[in-house]
Amino acid sequence: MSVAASGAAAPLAPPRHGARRVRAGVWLPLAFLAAGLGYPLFLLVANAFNVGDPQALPPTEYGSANFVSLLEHLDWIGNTLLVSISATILAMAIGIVLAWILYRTTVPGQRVFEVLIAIPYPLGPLVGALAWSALGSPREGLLNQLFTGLTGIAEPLFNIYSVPGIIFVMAIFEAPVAVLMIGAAMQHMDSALEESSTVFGAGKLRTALRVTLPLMLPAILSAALFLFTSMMGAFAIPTMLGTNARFYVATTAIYVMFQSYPPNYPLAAAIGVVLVAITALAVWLSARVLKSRTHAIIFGRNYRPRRLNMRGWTPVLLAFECAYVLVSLVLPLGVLLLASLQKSGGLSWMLSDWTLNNFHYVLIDFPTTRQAIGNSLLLGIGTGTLGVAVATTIAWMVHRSQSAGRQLLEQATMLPQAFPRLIFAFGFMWMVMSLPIRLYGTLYAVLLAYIIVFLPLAYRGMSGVVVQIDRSLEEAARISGAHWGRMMRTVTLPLLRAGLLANWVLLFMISVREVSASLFLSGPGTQVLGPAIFSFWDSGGLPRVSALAVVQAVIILIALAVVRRLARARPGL
Amino acid sequence: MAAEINLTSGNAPIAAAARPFIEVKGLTAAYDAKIVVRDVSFSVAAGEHLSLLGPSGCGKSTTLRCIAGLETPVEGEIVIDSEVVFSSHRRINVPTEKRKLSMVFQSYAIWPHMTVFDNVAYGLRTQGVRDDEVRSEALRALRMVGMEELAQSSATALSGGQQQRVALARSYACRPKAILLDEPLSNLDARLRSRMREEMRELQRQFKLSTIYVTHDQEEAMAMSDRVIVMRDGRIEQEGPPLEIYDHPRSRFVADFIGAANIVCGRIRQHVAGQPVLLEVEGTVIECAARADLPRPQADGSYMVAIRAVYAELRRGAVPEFANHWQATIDRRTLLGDMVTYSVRWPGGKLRIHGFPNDLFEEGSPVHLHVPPVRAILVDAD
Repeated sequence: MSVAASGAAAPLAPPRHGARRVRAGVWLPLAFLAAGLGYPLFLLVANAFNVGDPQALPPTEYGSANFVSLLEHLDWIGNTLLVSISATILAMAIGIVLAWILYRTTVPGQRVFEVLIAIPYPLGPLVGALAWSALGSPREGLLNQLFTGLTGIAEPLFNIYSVPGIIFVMAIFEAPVAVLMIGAAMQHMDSALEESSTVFGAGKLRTALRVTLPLMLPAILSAALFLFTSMMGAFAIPTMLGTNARFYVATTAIYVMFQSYPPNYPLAAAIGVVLVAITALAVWLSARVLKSRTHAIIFGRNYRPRRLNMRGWTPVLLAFECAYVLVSLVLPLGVLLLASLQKSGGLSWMLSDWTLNNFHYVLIDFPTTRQAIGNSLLLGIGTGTLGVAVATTIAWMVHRSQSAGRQLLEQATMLPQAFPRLIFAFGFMWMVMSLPIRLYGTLYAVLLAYIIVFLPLAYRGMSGVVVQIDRSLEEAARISGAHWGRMMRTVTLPLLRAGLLANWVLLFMISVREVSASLFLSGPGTQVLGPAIFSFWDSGGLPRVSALAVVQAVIILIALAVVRRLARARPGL
Repeated sequence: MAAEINLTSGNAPIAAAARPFIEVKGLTAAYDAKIVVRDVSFSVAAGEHLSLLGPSGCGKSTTLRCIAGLETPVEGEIVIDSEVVFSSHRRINVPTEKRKLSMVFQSYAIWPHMTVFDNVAYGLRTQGVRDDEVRSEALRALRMVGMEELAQSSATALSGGQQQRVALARSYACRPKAILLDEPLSNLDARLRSRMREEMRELQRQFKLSTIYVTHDQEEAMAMSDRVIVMRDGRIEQEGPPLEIYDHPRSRFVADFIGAANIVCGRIRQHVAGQPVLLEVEGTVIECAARADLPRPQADGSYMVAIRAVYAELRRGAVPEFANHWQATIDRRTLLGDMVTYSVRWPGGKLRIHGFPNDLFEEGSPVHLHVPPVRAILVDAD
């Protein structure tokens, strides 16, 4: 019988309608990713082995000379690893503590802090670096001036233009991701697992180390991996805080080689290849560790974990939350606002020294920044819309279809995460230059790059939404006589609405603030905010660049307010 | 057409009801390479309530989902109301939404973004029914399940039992050809479950819709069905009215799965058609119900007899010298509330026997055990 059945299975094409679309839904995104991700990578590697004319594309001669000359600059790689690893550890420590305070203790103000702690991430490293250089520069820095003014000691309190300074600013602006990812796992953990540990006689510490931590490990590892890769590709903070001290990491070195005359593309590509190899190794290692563990215990229904009453420790933990919000949100935004109101370069508290001219200049008078703001808004809307559409389609195919190749599609979708964004943009730039159509120097090139680099984030968000929607809700619509289109319109899309919106806003915000991916792709006529702030920082003076950064922050804060408002308007979804 | 008349006429003649309304022929279904339903055939008469009963993984839900069109079978044919909705060799596969069925899901699948009323009205609206008619029909369905007052409340505010009622109202409101139910009561607590069982039975009597009911709970299947199909490993193990399956299980699996039964193994002493079969167990002989041919034996050549825990009788007093009467001892007594379970030692080993609390036997006391020969049923071994 089974022989007859499996024999008959082969010739029978599944007659279910829409089956063809399922197939295309898997292969089209795969082809898109293979081209959009594979080709830039190929060009990057090809260039890294180019020993002929550095400008030639494709290379005329191949060799390993670039990697040999890289050996003289091993400090770049070493600095990158030092900064990335230290900042990842610091950000994870901050993130774990904050997530634990928010979701596992009775420390008051959870709702408020949940929002405040999330904001630094969309504000982004560029705002962070700019603000902290205004706060912590040894002579003009606001905090150092205050310190000198209060104590009379001429020696500055600290110098942000240092390795610890870079690590600190990177960590506090990436920590919200760790809070989000670890917090989600904490909220989904069955507290009975911890309770049974205490029942069997383990104390609080033993329970935390032997039960809670191992259960959290998958979330912790994947958060650490996410942070590590994005820090390997971090550009704004090391440039703005490290260049003064002649401290170079891989990305800043690549930028310098790109800017120098004549540009040394092959060496830059070689650095990029080494960086990609390191992140790929990190991805592989964490996949190996995670493979031996099952996630089943954590996922599933939403438990309401028991919260610990920390009694005497409550003020301490509350103070920790306040301190984080202070250094990552209040002080940076405050100093930028103050700087943006100044008539001249210093930081004056006198109202008579204040002016709104800087805002007038960046918003209206200066065409480049005016255009950058408009372009960034356009890109944000485009990336949000297309990114969410692509991510939803892929999430749908992976979780709902029976189509072959859906696991492969999921892995391919998460792959851009392994590329530091600046490196990807470098390869992507070569790809668009080599295309027969004129894509280089257009907003479409930037848009395409954004969609690819933000796809893992969008996919992660949307698959979380898709998984939560019980399949039988759709089946019930079909059986009630609704065809595919009606089902999508009346059941699926309304159920997805809140998730679609939240992910749209997330993509909008991170595209508005992005700098690494657009640095090589935007040019005259296609200025966008991130690179514009960056080049303004070089040449425009603190008041004007602060005004531009404040404009960017306001756009992001408005987007955040809109999504919270809409989320509150429809509870229960 | 006869089926239509049948549905509306109320007191349907049994002869007309016997005509198959849903027919499943040679159904084989697979997930990826794993075959979960193998060559299953059965039919449902108009107005009949059929249960698919079996442990999890037996293929009962997949069979139901194939009928609904939510899974595509590998092979076979499905006919609903004289219309072929699926046929592997004729390459017919009518999509789910055109099969005019309705279904109650294990999770109820109540749409959380709609009101109770919109949930129930959904099917009518997809059919393009006029608004005033949608209103009256949906409210009628809600009244039927006692949920009329909650029509305008949000579906997320409902308790499990209320969601279940809305799901039922939704499936009756859209005037389906047949109703499919996939373990609809398994998420409810025991008390609510038995109440919903009665209510569903009542709806079934009222509407006389053909119903296929998937469950792993033998009580539900027994209480609600006209006919039960016991499934195992993707195949039909036995099919028949509830009492027939209970009294005459065909195999050890069915005897075990439905009700409580003792399985005793022995060697055949005598097998003559029309006379009780004699089975020798541990030196004693049991007279078993007569049958034309013998069931499938075990690997070692011994045969299995099933004795229901409620059909073995315990009595006081002297033991007569007849077949199937034995001297036995009460080993353990367990009080379960409405029922008492005894573990009884008899010459053939141990038996589990149900009794009632009104007449209790003490542990260790001698007792007279009787098993009526028609209650000792030879069954297929695994």
